[in-house]
Order: sequence, then C-alpha cells, then structure tokens
Amino acid sequence: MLNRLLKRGWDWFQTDRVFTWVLLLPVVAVLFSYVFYPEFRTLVESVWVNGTFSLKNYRLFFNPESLANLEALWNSVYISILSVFLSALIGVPLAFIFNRYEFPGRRFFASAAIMPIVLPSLVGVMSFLFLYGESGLVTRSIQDLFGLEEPPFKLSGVSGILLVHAYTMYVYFYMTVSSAVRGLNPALEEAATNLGAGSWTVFRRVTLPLLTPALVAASLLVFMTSMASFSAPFLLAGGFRVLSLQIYFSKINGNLDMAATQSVILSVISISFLLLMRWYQGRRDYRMMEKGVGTHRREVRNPWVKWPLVATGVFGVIILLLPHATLFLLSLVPEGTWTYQTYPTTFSFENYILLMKDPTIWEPVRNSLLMATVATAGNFLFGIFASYVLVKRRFRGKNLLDILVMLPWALPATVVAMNMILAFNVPTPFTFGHVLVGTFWILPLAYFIRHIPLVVRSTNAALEQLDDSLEEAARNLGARWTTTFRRVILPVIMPGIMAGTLLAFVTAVGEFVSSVMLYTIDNRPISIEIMNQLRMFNLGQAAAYAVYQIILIAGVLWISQRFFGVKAQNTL
Amino acid sequence: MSRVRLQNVSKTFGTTTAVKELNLTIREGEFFTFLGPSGCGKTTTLRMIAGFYYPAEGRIWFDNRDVTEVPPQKRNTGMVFQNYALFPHMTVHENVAFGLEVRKISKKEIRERVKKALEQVRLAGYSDRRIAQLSGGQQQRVALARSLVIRPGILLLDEPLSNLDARLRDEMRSEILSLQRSLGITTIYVTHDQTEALSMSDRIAVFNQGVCQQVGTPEEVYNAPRNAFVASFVGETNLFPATVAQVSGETVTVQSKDHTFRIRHKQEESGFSVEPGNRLFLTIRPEGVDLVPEAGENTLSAKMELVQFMGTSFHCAARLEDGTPLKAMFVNRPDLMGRLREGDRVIFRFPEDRLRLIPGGDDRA
Ligand SMILES: Nc1ncnc2c1ncn2[C@@H]1O[C@H](COP(=O)(O)OP(=O)(O)O)[C@@H](O)[C@H]1O
Ligand SMILES: [Mg+2]
Repeated sequence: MLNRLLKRGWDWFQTDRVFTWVLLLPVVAVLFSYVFYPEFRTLVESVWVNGTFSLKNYRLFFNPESLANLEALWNSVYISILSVFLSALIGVPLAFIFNRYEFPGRRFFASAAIMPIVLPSLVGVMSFLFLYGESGLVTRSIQDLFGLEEPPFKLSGVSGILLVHAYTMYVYFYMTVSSAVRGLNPALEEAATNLGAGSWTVFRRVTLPLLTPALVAASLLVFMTSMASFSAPFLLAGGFRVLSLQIYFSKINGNLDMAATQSVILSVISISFLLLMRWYQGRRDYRMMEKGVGTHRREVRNPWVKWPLVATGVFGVIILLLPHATLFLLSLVPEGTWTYQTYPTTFSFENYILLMKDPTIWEPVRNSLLMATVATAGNFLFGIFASYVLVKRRFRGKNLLDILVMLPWALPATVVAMNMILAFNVPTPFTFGHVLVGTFWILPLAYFIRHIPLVVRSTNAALEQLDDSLEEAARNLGARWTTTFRRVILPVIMPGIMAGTLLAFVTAVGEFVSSVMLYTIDNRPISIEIMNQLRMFNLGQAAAYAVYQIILIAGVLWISQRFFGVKAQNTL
Repeated sequence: MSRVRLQNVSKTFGTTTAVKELNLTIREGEFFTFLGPSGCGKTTTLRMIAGFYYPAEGRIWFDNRDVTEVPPQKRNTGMVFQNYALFPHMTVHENVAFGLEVRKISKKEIRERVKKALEQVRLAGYSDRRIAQLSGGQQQRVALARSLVIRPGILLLDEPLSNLDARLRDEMRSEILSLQRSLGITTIYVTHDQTEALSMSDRIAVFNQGVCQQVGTPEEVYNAPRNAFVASFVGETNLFPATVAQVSGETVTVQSKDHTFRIRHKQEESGFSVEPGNRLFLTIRPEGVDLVPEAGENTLSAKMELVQFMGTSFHCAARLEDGTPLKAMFVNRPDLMGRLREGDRVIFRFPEDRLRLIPGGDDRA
C-alpha cells in the first residue's frame, strides 16, 4: 500500500510540470539572492535616508547648482555616442573588405582584426599608455625623430578615452557585420543587379536593409559597453568625469548614499538598453539569414587597387598588434633597468622567472586562478540548469527570468560591485548569515554573477540547436530524465558550455572593475597587482602579468575554435 | 503486443483545440493509420499515446492498464520520429543499444539483440558508423531498429517517410510493412499521404480539424466515405449537392443539377437513413463514371475540357451544362481510341451502384 503510494508520488514528481518547477527552484533562488536582491538593496539605499523614504539623493544628483553628476552623465552619454560612430567607422568597412574581396594575406588580416579582444580592459588601456602616453614609446620616437622640445601629443582626456574605445570596440561592429555579410545571400544582390539596379542602389535598397539588424545590434552593444567603461576613464580621464567613475569615487569617499543613487541611474539607462535590445531582436526577421550560403569573394586583380589594399592591411595589422608587441617587449625589461633612459636597454626573462619564484609576485596569479575557478565552476553548474529550463521548459514568467539572467551583463561592473557592497555588508540569509564584504568570498561571488549571462547565453545557443525530439527519443526508449540528460543532452551541448565556461574563466582571471571595488589584501587578484606595479613604475612586471593574461585568453579562444567549433563572434 | 484504447480524449493548446473527443480502439497486432491533412491533430494524438502530452480530458489505456498519466519512459512504446532523432554523438550501435542499456540488460544480450535488430533492417556491418555518415534511408532504418530492439508493446511512426525521396519511399514502405507483418507488432502510423495509408493499413482513422471523421478498412474508407471530407480527402471524387425526392426500400431517387438520379442506398452500410426532402451530397468516384452513346437513366451531358492519357488510363476533366466541373477516369480500352477528344460534347452515365449519398449537404445546397 505504502509502496503504491510512494510510486504514485514518484510518478507525480516526474510529471513534466512538477519537474519543471523542481528544476526552476534553485535557478530562481540564485537569481533572486545574487542578482535581484542586491540591485533592490541599492535602490532602497538610494531612497532611504535616515530611516525614512526621501528623494533627497536624487535632488542632489540633479541639483543644477552643483553640476558634477549631471556633467558626468552627459559626458558618459556623448562619449558613448561618439564611440559608436568611431567603432562603426572602422569596423564596418573592414568587415566588407575582408568578406567581399580576395587579396593576398586576406585570411591573416581577417583574423588579426579580432586581436583586440584578447586584451582585458585594463591591460588594453595600459598598453596604449605605454605606446602613446606622455612618455610612451611612439610619442618619444616621434619627439626624437623631429627633435621636438615637447612630446607631440599625449594620450589623455576625451580623445584618449575615445581612441581606446574605438580600438577595443570596433571589434563588435567587425564581428556582427562580418557574420551578417557572410549570411547574406549573394543571389539577392545579383537579383537586384539583374533587375537593373546600379551598385549604389543595390547597396542602399538591398544590402543596407539586410545589414540593419547587425548594425543596430552592434551599436547598442558598443553604447552599453562604453557607458560601462571604467578602465579607460580610470587611467586616462584626469579631471574628466564619467558616471561609472563617479560611483567609484563616491564609494572611496564613503558616500554610499550617492554611490547608490548614481548606480540606480546608471542601472536605469542600462536596463532600458537591455529591454530595447531584446525588443529589437525579437522583431528582427531571421528568415533572410540563410545558412550555408556560399559567398563568393571578388578577387581584386587591378594592381593599383590590390597593392595599396595589401599595404593598408599590413599597416593596420601593425597598429593593431602594436599593443600586444609592446606588452611583450616591456615584459622583458627587468625592474630598475629603465629609469632615465629614453628607451629600455636591458632585456631578460627575469620578470617571468620572478613570477614563478617569488611567492609575493606569484600570489596574485594564484588568487586570480583560484577565484576564477571557484566562480566558473558555479557558472558551469548554474548555466546548465538555467539554460535548460529557459530553452526547453515552458512556464509562466519565463521572460522575466530571462531578463534577470541578462541583467549582470547589461549592468556596468561598477554597478554590480556597488550592489554587492550594499547588499552583503550586513549578514543576510543568502550568505548564510555572514558579512561578505571584506572577505575572500566577495570576489568569486562577483565574478560568478558577472559571468552568469555569458555562460547561460552560450549554453542557450547550443541547446537551441538541439532538437527536442532527441530528448523525446531517449525517454521513449525508456530513459529517465536524469539518464537522458547525462547521456544525450549533456554530451551534445558540451562544446557550447565549455566554450562559454572557458571564456568566463579567462575573463574572471582578467577582471579589473569589480576587483578594484571589492578586493581585500588577502585576495588581491592580478589586475590589482598590475595597478600596484604601475604605481611603483615597475612597468616590466606589470607587462609580464598582462602577457600572462593575454596568453591565457588567446589560448582559450583558440581551444574553443579548434576543439569546440565555436566561432569567435559567438562569444561576444 | 498491446491493444490501445483512447477514451473521449481531448487536447487543447491555449485556445486551439488540437484533438477533440476522440474515441478509438487499436487492436492487438494491427497496422493502424492516422490519416489527415497537416495540422489536423495526428501528431498530437500520437504524442499523447507516447506520453509526451497529457490529454486535457479522457483516458488512454494499453490493454487494461490506464497509462494516461504514465511518463513516457515507462510506456514501452517504440517511436520513430519524423526527423529520426538519432543521437548525433553516438555510433549506429550505440544508438540502437541505448534503450537496452537504460533497461539494464546484460552486455552480452545487448550485443546480440543489437546485431539482430540491425540485420532485420539490413544494416549489418554498419554498427560502427557515425550517424552523419549515413544516408537518409539508412538513418531511417537505424531509427526503426532502435525502436524495435526494445521489443515495444506498440510501434509509433510519425510520417516516417516524408523526408525520403520518392523511390526510397516506396522501398521503405514495403520494408516497414513486411517487418510489421513478421513481428506482428501493434503499429500506429501517421501520414498525410493517402496512398501510403491505403496501401499499408489494416485500418485507417481519417482526421480533420482535431476530429476523427471515420474509422475503417482502406476499402471502407475509400468506397463508403462517411462524409464529404473523407470522400474528397481520400482519393478524388465528384460531389454534388442533392435533395431526396423519393425513397422506396433500398432505392432512393434524388434531385441534383436539374436531373433525377436513382441510387442504391443501404442504411446499415452507410450508417444513416434518408427521407424525402433531405438535403445531402451525391458523390461518385471518377472511375465510377461511364461513357454512353445516348441519354437515358442517370445520364448527364458535358463538354470534355481536358483529356490526359496516362498509359493505363485516361484522366478527363469535363464541365456540365451549368458549369460544374466533373472528373472522370477510364481504363485504357481499344474501343475508347479516338472517342475522347477535348472540346467534344459527351454523355456520362452514373451507374446506380457507384453513386453514393453522403450526409451534410445542408450547408452547401
Ligand atoms: N506544442 C504545441 N503548442 C501549441 N499548439 C500546438 C502544439 N502542437 C500542436 N499544436 C497545434 O495543434 C494542432 C494539431 O497539430 P498536430 O497534431 O501537430 O497536427 P498534424 O496532424 O499535422 O500532426 C495544430 O493546429 C497545431 O498548431
Ligand atoms: Mg505532424
């Protein structure tokens, strides 16, 4: 009798609806505790002054008397808009040239064009300083070459930030437009030509409308990234104010109320953009994107076009790879050998040897690897379950859950960090009654939260490819859900998960923004140590750390592409 | 082998009703086909039998076991999916062995049974191939072997041939049929292709818009359609609205197209009785139409519009005096040579034993 009842209960447990909820529960719990609740705490903090509800902080923010905050907001917005234009200006033509024409070295140039993505944000800015800063290598070379008294230029302020943004963010345009150009059926353009349209008309009436989704997506992406950008203003801004940086300063000055208010305002902007993007992609018509269309590239024959094209390509690649080369070069400069000289003179592997030998130098690397491993293991598990319920199960509130998953991606890292400070500087049930701020665990948790969207999204892509009937076939053959999941679903989607997880891992290793807001002496990660070494003018060791990170990231991207068949553009 | 009974089964998705109040019994060892146009609820019904959907109402029985809420993995049905759903990361052998492994059958027995199953579908020697290395027809056979190897109580096939080209389709059709006959397994076959349904099935259920229209042997469904939908969906037919004029015993006189027709109507065969004044449909298959030299009883004059010579037969499209189209088909005979010419006026006769009455003329007449 009892047996029968238990069996009934088990069958009920296995019915689809109930099972969906069983899977959903931990996913919702994690998202609620670590994504929703911290954001909510920040909101409360900003409107709760001295124990009562008040909009005082917002009045302060929008106070016309002291323009600091409004100015920062305005600066963030216009820098972002300019970044979109500059990135498009570089990325779109490159995408066309590399995907439409065939000329010597095209494949090499095409893959070199995505090299900026292997530079973590802090490292990228740092390399630009090494090159084009007041005492940068390029700046000094030009000064020497023309015998100038003063450096001809120095990388700083708005132009400096824009230059770095253009360099790092054009890749978004390059990748999205490239894949759109490749997905564009050449027959469509041929059909238009056949109907008598001239090449300009074809571009305006056929090509451009088909590329619009890619252009809009890339623009939104660049705008959001640029609003969130922290490293470039942090190192280059001087007195120039941007919103993401203001949050950091408010926090440093102990003005948590204002930091919360600024976070809320930046959140509102980011969330609006997230919703805008979802809406746009929802109405986007995918039918035009045909798969497996053979694009034929036009071979460039005319030597007057071909060789200048190749020359421009070579020159472009040199500019693109200069930061990487510089970092590598400087990483070979031992401490104290480059002080008053214009150029470094001594080169050795000392910095790398120290990295392995000196425990204090190795420690940040160990910290980063350890924390990234913990965080990524969490991302891996969470990603699988969250993605499975989101893609394969039906339930009410799915849209909301999906937005919650994407939130840590849309929110600037500064805001995510601020949310965590405000949420976990007191004991909460979500942290098992512990205060997390000031402990080791705050950083792995921050990395975990930051990379939820990345892992879930890459797993989603893999799961969406997986036909539902595969799961049904396994169950029809008598497999329980757990067996089906382990033997059929997981093996098929593993490459997608691994690609996302590895990328999350390397990004966590290089994470600067949330680290600078949350680190303690005990869990000081690589990026913080790079800052310290820069402050001590030990450029060589800073560069060695950077090279270490670059190799890690490049290695992971290569593995993903080679073994998991994941295209680099899917990782954006 | 099991008997399947659907008792008053309904299924809705949101506001659309996919299947409505379905009552069916599929006998043990029978080859049973769900036939109907796309979107009529065949797949939904099949998936309820497999356990992937639960009915909104009604019960499903396998023999005397109520399986309505039993999860799919406990139903012991073997399903062949339209796209085969072969596991891409496993070899042929691993695919076929999967269902046996989850049943915790010994390694040795698995090896033997997989080997035998692959032999049955004529794929011996392919066990180490990857799925991607197989042609469409071979994949189809692996899917078949995979669902047969678990010795299912019921074999479920959802449009299994629709992804194959025409030649392979004929080949697989007879292969599936001979496998089913030799194993004697209860089989439910879903298709929208009437030729497949007629040539393979013991019995057919014709669906339209979620409602089962008729259940019967292929001959019954073809020769004695219950309603206008079945008559026009299964094979080609001519349908005319008609009004009953006179009933005397089995002979009914109806008025249609300003003509009077006499028909043999058996109530026990067609399932309904007629009375003078009833509005209904008069139907005749193209091959039932006769060509006669002069007007008489049950005749109509028409103009021949199109004659297609198909070798074994002539397919004719004609138009009656009032403009109604009529289809006729004649087996190739020497006496027809030169008599079927486009543009000619001809006289057709509807033999009274080939004419049938179908209820439901009210909405059209
Ligand atoms: N999972 C589903 N969600 C919503 N509607 C569905 C679903 N499956 C089927 N339908 C609807 O139910 C009806 C019957 O579908 P189906 O059983 O697949 O037809 P078919 O006879 O072509 O196999 C269709 O109108 C279809 O749109
Ligand atoms: Mg179907």
